[in-house]
Amino acid sequence: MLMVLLPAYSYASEKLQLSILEPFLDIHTGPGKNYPVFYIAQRGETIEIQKRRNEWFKVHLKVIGDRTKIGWVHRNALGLTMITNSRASNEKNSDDIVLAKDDPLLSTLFNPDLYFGFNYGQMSSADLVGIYIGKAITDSFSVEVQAGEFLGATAQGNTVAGVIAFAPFPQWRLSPFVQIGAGEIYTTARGTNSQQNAGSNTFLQSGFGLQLRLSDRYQLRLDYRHHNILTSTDNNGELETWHIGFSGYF
Amino acid sequence: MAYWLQRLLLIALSIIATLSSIRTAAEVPEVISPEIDRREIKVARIDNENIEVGIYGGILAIEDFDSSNISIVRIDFHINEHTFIEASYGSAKGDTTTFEELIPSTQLISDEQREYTSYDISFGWNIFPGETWLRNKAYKSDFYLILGGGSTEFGGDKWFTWNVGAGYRLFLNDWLAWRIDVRDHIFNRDLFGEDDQTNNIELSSGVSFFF
Repeated sequence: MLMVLLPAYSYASEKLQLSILEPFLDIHTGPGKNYPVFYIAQRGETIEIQKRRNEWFKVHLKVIGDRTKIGWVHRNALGLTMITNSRASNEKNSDDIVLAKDDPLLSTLFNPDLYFGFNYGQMSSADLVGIYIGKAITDSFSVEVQAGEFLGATAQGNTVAGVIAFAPFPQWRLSPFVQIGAGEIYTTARGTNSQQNAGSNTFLQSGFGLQLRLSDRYQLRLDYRHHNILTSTDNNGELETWHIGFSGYF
Repeated sequence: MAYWLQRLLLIALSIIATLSSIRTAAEVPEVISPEIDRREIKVARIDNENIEVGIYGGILAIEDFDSSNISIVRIDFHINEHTFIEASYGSAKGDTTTFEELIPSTQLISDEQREYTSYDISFGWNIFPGETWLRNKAYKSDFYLILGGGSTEFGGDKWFTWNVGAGYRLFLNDWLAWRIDVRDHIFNRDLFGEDDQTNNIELSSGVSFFF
């Protein structure tokens, strides 16, 4: 998965090395702020990134006596360091300081553009449960794949759709958005009801909603979708759904 | 008269100044030459361990039925240290009801209808992340709460199901964890005629891998 996120250096073998620019850098025993700080690295020291667990990075740090300290550093602290790999070959620029968080090589680490979420909702009287995965193309535009199941008293089934979403004011904390797309709905009648609506149909979808940024990694989302179901009969079906969802960027 | 002479001189001066400045701009080499040499950084991709996949076994008490064994697969996406999204799929076979046990010749639902499958998508919150001490060694651990929804298929029908529970995750190392979970699957079931809210408690344990 990370091959997609970090194409810039997915081919090489050297581990990412970062030089500490701030006076101190806290190193925790585990990937979380509740884990105690057991070591404090100083400015000028170099840490080597081993692996990542969501917002925490496991680092190796050489200390006096050639021992290695192993601990975890938060992404925000890591953002204030600087890449030092292959610095020697580029000595004349050594005065330039590019913070890791501003380094284009690491942009996907500090500005994640993939999100994953799930939602619950209502489709007339049926309950809905769904998941979605998306990618932000720009601050305003994103593409998304949605899948869901609806469970009603008379009908049950699944939906799958692809949409493009547009948020005109992405910088707002509570930001409105619109989406359009198309998909497929598979319906089965429940119990002894007629099979009239059974089968699979294509639909066109449009919707609008509000997304609330809970933090820089989470979003709460409320949206309304209108589906125009394209049937072979003269009358196209219409469906309205409401959703409340939660998503995280990674 | 001296006035227009002054003016003329000023105009001439300004023309000369402009011309000379154009010339110098053309002749003097650029003071700042952009050095566009890309930094040659070749570093390995960072191993990302945000996904947890686990296999679990346990006991499921389907309401009105005897408890039965359940096997569960769960995939977790860890957003950060506090939260995760979990997709869970469980499969079991419903045992006999008390009525069927008391009157052995009866069978309320067919064997095929006793197949129980359930999935849910839930939000998990690591309410107490921390360390657990075992034999003088600290292991990372989380105590978490789970809330979500999904669907349950049982008795030849399907219902929207709420899922609420709690669990404990003990990291044996960076990529291996042991988990114990308690869940309640709540759904309205009309299997025996009327619509009943049923609570189906599940107790499970297993190991999970992070990658």
